[in-house]
Amino acid sequence: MTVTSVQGNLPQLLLVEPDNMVRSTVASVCRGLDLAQVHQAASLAIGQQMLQAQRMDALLLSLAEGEAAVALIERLREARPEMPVSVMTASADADTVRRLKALGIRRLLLQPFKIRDVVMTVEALCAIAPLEVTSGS
Amino acid sequence: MIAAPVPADEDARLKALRELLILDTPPEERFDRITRFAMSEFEVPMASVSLVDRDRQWAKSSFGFEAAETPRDLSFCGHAILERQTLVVPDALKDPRFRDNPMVNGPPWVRFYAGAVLRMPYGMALGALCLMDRRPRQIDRVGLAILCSLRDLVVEELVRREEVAS
Repeated sequence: MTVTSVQGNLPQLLLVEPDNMVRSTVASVCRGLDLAQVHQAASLAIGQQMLQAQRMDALLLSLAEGEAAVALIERLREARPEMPVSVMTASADADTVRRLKALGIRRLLLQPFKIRDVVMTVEALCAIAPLEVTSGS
Repeated sequence: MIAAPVPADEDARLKALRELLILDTPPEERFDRITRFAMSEFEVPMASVSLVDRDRQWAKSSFGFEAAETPRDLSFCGHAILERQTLVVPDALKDPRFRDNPMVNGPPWVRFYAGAVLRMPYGMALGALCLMDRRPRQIDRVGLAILCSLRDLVVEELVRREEVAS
């Protein structure tokens, strides 16, 4: 589990993606472009822990772990119905797409995608995400 | 053509490069996968992880062109290691450093080049992760950020190699 550097008041985005190259490149690019503070999880189990430990503003999730990933979004929706979520997957059947739509998924990124597509998706998610503002006084 | 100038820290730079014990070693998947990824991401026909030795540029990983090494005088990466930022040559035919370079006027017919410097944590610039195309093109800030992130992965692998070598 890697947590990227803390940067000002950027949206907090959780990226759950098993491919280390995709994960670390997206996190690094988002950091470099000041788009988001990207928290990285290589698996659903780690992602679940991070969601419980810290308030995230948006979620970008790989469906590589199949039904378990959809189940995580369903659980998340009960607690955080407003949280912007997009998913990445190699393929999705009509039933899965219907379920994802019903869960309010903002975007479905089909592989093979480019890092640029993922970065644009992060940017769109963070534009939607309501930033939590904490008062200093 | 303007031959790549020699950096002020050349002796220390070459010492650092030699200490990696990487020159003339076989291809390794951990570098090749980054090079292939860069080619696919940017849709370029040529990409490499190139290291600048005393008289030559040698590719640890290369796809899309045959020569594993080229004379340093002709090297694009020899120029890149002098830059603080990524060296971008949108059209080599319009750049006085490269317009009459044999790599531009002959195989592999380089027109576009972008090279992100492989700078080790202690500051030595050893080479570049570079993209090349046979047509002029541009790279925007998102593209530059992606290239630099992939470059950072190459540097991580070089540092890992350095730890093993020492």
